[in-house]
Amino acid sequence: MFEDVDDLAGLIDELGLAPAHIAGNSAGAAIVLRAAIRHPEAFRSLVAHEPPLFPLLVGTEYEAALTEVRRRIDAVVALLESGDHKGAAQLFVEAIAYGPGAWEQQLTPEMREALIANAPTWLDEVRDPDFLEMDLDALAGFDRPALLTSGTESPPFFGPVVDQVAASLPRSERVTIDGADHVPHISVPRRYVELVRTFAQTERSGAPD
Amino acid sequence: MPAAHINGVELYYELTGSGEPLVLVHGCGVTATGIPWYPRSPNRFGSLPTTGAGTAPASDRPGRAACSRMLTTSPG
Repeated sequence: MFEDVDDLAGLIDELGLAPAHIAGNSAGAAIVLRAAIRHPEAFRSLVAHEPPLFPLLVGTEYEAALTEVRRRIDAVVALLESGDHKGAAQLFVEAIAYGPGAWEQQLTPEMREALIANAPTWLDEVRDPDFLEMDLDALAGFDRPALLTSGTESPPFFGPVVDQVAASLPRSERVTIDGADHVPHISVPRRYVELVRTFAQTERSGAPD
Repeated sequence: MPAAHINGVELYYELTGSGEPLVLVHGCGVTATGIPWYPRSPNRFGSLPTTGAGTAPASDRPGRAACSRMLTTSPG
């Protein structure tokens, strides 16, 4: 995971983009949040939608949800280990990331193909002890504007995670997007883009140069 | 699609627009191919140009975590 964080920061540096508005979705949001701790100078502002930081639910009223998501992750891992990459990708999409029926109804053929091709790499991630962890105390030191979002149609374990992340950031805005799921740029693209655009433009004047 | 050699791997990226950069980082297992946000978002963002950053094929970094694919790219 930290390789990904450093890759992101390295590419932003290489391309001379800093400070940038940096927006992440799902595991991309987890990478962006870690980058906020490790490379805050890269940011003008931060946008994160539903990072899968499920261990934050330990000891909360949502611990039952954590147990459920772990059960679902284990089921995906079992399919991957058996070599059933298509089954694993479909279960990941329908039980963890998107929702029942999403494989056929929401994904394009290109997305299904990419998910199947990339399925084995998910094993690397779930075996990475840092993959789902987040140091909220360290995150609290990030002083740039941040927009944290979740969708009303997402699996129930994402919203409470986003709540905790938002509460830890000193300059955060927390938005629940009506009708959005785990992938708001697909489920509600116009409204999501408008939300991000408005946030970024609003935060321009207060952002560092 | 251009690529940058970062931390020992090739990261593919695409830049579009001008002005304040917006870097898009997508989720696990997918690329930006087939995702409607990237190819359409530059126009939707209007005066806020977008910047996509690249993605590395898994074969480029065997043994390293899959989120090497995180960095959003255009369909190419």
